[in-house]
Amino acid sequence: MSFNSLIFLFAFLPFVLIVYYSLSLSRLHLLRLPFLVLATLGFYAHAQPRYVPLLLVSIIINYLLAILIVRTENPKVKQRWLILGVSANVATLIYLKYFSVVSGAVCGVFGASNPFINIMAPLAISFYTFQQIGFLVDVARGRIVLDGLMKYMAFVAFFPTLLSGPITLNQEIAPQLAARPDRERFAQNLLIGLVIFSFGLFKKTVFADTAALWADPVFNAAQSGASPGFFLSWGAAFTYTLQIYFDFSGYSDMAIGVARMLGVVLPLNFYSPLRSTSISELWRRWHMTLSRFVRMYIFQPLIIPLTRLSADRGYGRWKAFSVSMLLPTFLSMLIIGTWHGPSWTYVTFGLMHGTFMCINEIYNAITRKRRRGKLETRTVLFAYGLLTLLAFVSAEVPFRAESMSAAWQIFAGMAGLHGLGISQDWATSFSSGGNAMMIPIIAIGLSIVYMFPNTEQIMSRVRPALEWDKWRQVDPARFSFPFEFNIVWMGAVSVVLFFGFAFLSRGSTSFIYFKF
Amino acid sequence: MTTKNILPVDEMIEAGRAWRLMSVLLSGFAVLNILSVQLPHERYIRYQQFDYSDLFKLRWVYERIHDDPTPIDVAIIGSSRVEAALSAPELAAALGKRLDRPIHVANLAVPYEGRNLHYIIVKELLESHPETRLILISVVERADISHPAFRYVADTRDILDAPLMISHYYAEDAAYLPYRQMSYFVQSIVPSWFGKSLVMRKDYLGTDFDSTKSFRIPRGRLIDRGLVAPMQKLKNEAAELKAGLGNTDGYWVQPSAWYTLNEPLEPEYTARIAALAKQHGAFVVFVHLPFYSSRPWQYDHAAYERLGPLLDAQQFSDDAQFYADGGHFNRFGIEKISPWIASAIDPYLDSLRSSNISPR
Repeated sequence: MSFNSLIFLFAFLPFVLIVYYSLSLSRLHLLRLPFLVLATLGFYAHAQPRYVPLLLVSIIINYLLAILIVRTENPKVKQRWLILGVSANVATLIYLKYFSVVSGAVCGVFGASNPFINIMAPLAISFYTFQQIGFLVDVARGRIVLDGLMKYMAFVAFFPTLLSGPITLNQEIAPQLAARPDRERFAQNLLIGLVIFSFGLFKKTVFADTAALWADPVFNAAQSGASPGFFLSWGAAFTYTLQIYFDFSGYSDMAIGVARMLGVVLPLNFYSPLRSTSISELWRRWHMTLSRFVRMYIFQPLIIPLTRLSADRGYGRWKAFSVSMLLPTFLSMLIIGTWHGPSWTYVTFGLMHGTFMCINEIYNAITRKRRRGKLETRTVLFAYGLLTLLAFVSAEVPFRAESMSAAWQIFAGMAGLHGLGISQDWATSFSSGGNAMMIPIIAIGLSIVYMFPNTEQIMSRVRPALEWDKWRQVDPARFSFPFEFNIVWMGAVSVVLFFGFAFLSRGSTSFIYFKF
Repeated sequence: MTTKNILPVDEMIEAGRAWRLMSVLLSGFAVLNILSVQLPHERYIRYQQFDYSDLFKLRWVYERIHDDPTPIDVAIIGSSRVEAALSAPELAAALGKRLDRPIHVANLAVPYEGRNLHYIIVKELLESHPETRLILISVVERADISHPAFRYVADTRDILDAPLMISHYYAEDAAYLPYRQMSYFVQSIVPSWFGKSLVMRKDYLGTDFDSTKSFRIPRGRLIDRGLVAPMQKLKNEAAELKAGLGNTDGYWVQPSAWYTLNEPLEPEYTARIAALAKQHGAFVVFVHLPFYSSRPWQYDHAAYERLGPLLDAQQFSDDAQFYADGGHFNRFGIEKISPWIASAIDPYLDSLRSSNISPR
């Protein structure tokens, strides 16, 4: 079930809220979490009923492993249980998400049919697997006190975050879920959640789905072997970047909004990343909880032993820098790319970002002394921002393309190898403006990205996300219109909600991140 | 412990005020939806939404009904199966000869099943052409689905008046109205921005557009009426049909109560069409064009016969030469169907013989 579906908006969500709060505010409040878990299973089953048992088994086994880790005194045995748990999760993920494609490729080489062709990746498996790996590691590190299976189930099977994140930590969500909702805040949370959700719905249906109308025809044509020209290729790359930007931003707002309606505050997941002035900053602001997971559970565990190794072996400055910084950075980005799916296009996406990040780190290392204590001029910051934007837009090409051949067609177009190619027959024809409409769409989209505050900045005074104080002052937008509890704001949000809802029926696409 | 104890304190408002503000927000949302549905637009715009799709003929349907001054004595309504098989010019010629006066036949059928769209077309037809006396309507085996074009071309009232709130399509159709009305409103103001027009196009397909002859969908594929389907394809489709209808011995099976409860569109709208026709003094005749190799009475013939006479072309079902695919006749089939239909409707031509009503 998707947040941008009628059944979710008008049946599932109201039903869950009514029952959840009826239970919470009554003597039956102990049934609150079991109900939430059941609701989430229904939410999941609406899309993929056959994988509900897998989700349940995964939750139960991980919890049992956590118990074993906690009860084991011997650190080495504890470590073994952790390795077993992490390996089992990773193996399940690899088998269900990657094995069919890899075996298909191998069988293809030998001209054999693929015996694993029917394996279909379960919805959300990447998200709940990562979430549970993080849980096991934190249990082993002693950061989490186990608090019962039901609370753990409610943490993993929490429908606002289950399908596409944010990838939350047990220690930040479980205490909120365990606490009984506060009667005084119940109405306020509903209202704040609805406002945040409305912004998310609007971004998804009005902005993201509109951008898709122009990006899709070009990428689809490239997949069919067409050769889009320079302007059309860049136009498609930019419109797709805007599509995924507003799609994921909208999704993250909707998840935060729905969770807030239930009285739960989620971590930030998206913070105007295209306004970043470096690719590493961009990744701290795009899919923030995935980046956090990779940093906490992959990058940091890699960087410490590699730094030690460099020191032990007496590597020189650049060799040590390469081994202890560039290698884990590159590997982390490669893992992020491959996490999206078993396709060379995602591997290429990861490789490109890994390369960009390494260049960024090398540049920082070279210029650190020169820049120390100096503020960059606006022109320099603009140049950094532009370079970051172009790098990101380029990497979105393989991310969106259905095959590497389609990605090469677009890349060739962007390099001018197919001529200028402003209007091809196969391109979009939704209006008499045709492909030229890409220009105002890109201009409007980028203006919103660069000039307007993000949802969290608008909602700043009601603490829209966890650790908000750390972000409150980061990168303020040129325009500012903070939310207030008054009738004017309610009127404005009702307009936002109305357009979000109306455009939903135009023919909304599925959230891009649902397929991961 | 409550969430108040574990989350940082933020700006608080009283619960009563929060409820009042929420009611303002939701009321504003409701009012905007209601207002948007009231937005005016040109009806012709609705029928131009499919210009480059399989349903491109809808625009011609509108133009034939509203802008073409030629009367319509006999109308053909249904899906692509009757669109492909019943030639309006051939039927007009045969009837004209029989009645010794010019008879005008319009094949207003469009691809895809969905009786609710047929109702909308019949409504448009009878409001604009009171001279219409005979309506030939396709029989549907079991395709009680909403037509994909219904929500685009129906009046707001027709969408909201759709039968039974439990219809699978009701919520989606109704939810589409705000966007549709806003979109059509803007398209009516600046039609050229959207490649639309407020007046009949110069390259109108003509009164005698014959969809039983091969044509090409604008910017799209060729619809080849001369195609003869491969035998194996026909056999496969026949097997699929039997499986789909839930019977193997070839006779119509009463759908389950659940099916009837959830999918009331086909019988409901067929009855509405019959009632509307009766109200306007038109006569409804049902025409069954069989799938290849289907057995007799693989549909609820009794229900149709309660509403009007039923003509069945079952005798052509076993000749593979007549089929372009499992459900559509080709030119060889059409050449057999045309004389058959002209002859079969003979008992129901009385209304045409006495007709002296002028078009609007």
